[in-house]
Amino acid sequence: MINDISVLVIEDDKSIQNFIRITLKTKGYNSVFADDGLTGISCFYANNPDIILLDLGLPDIDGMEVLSQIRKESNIPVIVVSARGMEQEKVNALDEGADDYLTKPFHAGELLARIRVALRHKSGIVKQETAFELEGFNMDFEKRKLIVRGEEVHVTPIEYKMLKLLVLNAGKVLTHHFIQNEIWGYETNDDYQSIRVFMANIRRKIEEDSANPRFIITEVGVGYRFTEN
Amino acid sequence: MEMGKRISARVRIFKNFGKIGIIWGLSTMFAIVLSHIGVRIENLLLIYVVGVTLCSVETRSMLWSVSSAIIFVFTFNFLLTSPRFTFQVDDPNYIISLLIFIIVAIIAASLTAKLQKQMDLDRERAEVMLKLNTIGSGFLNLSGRQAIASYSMKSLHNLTGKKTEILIKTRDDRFSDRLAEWCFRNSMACGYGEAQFGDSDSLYVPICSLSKTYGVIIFLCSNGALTKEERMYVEMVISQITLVLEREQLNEEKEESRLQIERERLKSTLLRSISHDLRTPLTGIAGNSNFLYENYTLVDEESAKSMLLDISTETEWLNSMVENLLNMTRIQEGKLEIRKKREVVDDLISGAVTLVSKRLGNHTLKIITPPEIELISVDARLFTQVLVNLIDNGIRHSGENTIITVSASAKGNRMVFIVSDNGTGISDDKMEHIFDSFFTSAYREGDRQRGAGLGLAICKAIIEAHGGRILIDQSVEKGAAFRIEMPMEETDDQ
Repeated sequence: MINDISVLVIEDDKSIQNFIRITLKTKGYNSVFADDGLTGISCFYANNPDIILLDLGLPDIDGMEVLSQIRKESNIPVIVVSARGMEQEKVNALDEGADDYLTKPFHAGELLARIRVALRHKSGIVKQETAFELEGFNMDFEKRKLIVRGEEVHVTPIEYKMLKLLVLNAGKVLTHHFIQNEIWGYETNDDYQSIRVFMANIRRKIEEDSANPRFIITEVGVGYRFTEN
Repeated sequence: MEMGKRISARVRIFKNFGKIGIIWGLSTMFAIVLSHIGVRIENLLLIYVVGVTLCSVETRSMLWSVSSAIIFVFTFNFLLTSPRFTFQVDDPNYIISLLIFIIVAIIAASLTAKLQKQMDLDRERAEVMLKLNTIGSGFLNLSGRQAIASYSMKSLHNLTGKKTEILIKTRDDRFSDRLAEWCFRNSMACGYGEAQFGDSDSLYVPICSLSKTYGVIIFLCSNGALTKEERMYVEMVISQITLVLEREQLNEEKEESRLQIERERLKSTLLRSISHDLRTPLTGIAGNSNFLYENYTLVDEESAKSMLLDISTETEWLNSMVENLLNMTRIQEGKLEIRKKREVVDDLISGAVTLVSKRLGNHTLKIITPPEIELISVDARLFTQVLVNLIDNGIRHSGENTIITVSASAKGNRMVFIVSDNGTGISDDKMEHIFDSFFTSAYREGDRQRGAGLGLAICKAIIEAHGGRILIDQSVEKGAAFRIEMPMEETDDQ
């Protein structure tokens, strides 16, 4: 079944292409490669891929341009690839509709994990669930109950809302902007300070060691990610 | 105001009347007594000359002295010359004597008055000079525009007794005060008593040298204008202010060129560092990978794996190195963009921990976060890099199987981070230069010390750019400890 999945990789560097090709082959994914943005867009129309891996630094057009072209047509999962230090670029891409990002250089494991999460969210399995369970972390959405390491944890309504949002998107990075909009529905100009404080509070409640968190990972300069495994 | 002046004038008139009356009474009594004893009348006249002189000394005014001289002459004439108790004179000699008396009195009076005035003026000048000198010497050990402005403000207020304000231009922004802006642009005084904006109740005086205007002094003139002398003194103080400001500017320029030189030096060292610090891990990667490629079938699985692990570790290290180099380039271009946001301390530490956890090896990482949720204003990426560099240093330089501790706690208005290890520690000779070892020792010692200097130099640059400081914590018994102190803002409305 997994063999049916085809990945469109828009990336200009040959050795990275090679690395991605080999990595994808180990999991039985089919891959299509495009060397630049315009080829990428036409490959998208021609091959009907299941997921796109998009490098933001392309030789012809801006990766963001490719992203918005694709987003006009479809909701296909897009994972953007960019260098460390380009946090703002990543945040922009995520807020423009990218599903996740990878920071160069990345490991094969990371690449596969991101693809797996993006595909899972595409199929929408998680959203129908009534409960979430991960290594002693239990969240029951119907009873609105949270049990961590066997003990019930009490969280405030906003903390619960935030945690639920993270859990439903487990494995996927959520930008501050996204969280702000989902929880409060409007923008504030406090540099997302309240999100940081709420997140720190949640961490102190659910993590054994809040500075070396098991569940909620800080993506510096981008946002937060609830771990998926 | 007018009332007060009139009252003080009246008081002075009464006082002078009193003084002249007393001197007149005393001289007359003395003269009458002496004349009874039989002293000759010419000598009595001299008593009155003394009296007039005393009057002019006391009243310090020409008008009063002359008036008193006339009164004294008539008194003398009335009381002592025959026929007595008349204003007539028998002997024509007396007329000459009286005339001479008046002339002498007038000359004496005018001389005394002049002398008095001169003395008053001298005293006043001496006082002002003393004040000006004190002000001038005060300027000598000032630095910083703010200090100069506040000192000048205080001095001018002391000198003129008026409420004074000083505005000094820093950038090309405009003064919010329209008149101050006009005064600055035209380098011309305006406001109270001047041709321009005369209806304002403040006087605006520009602080300018021949070539440049630095700012504006504002005097609140609700209790009258500055006198001519005061204006002159103000000008003198202004010339001192401009001197100090010029000196300040020269210092700034000197500092700027020093930084320029430093940047140049940094640039060349950076190039050396790139060739050295990047090539070392690259050699490992190239060697291992090439060997594996050429001898794929000959290598047993275990050695292949260990070689691949080496490649993987070296690339991790290279990646962190590149991040440091990029930051360093930005620092030395003076373009280190700091995007400060209020970040939770826990987040900063966990961000760093996530990045280093893969290369911990046989080291243990211990983390102590502050008991409360604390926020500091930092650029999260840069600050995380600082913690990563310090933890990396611990991993590389503390020896094997050490415990690296990262702790953060609020101390007063500072957030103190300590990254320490229980390893071999830092030798005393390195202690002093450790933050700038980038320039010196790192390259003399060769591979053993690779990259250490660069990492710490970046930490220092980043922390200082945030207004914090980083130092070696000497209080630990064993191992090395770095202490970062970051300013914490007053918690505002949140």
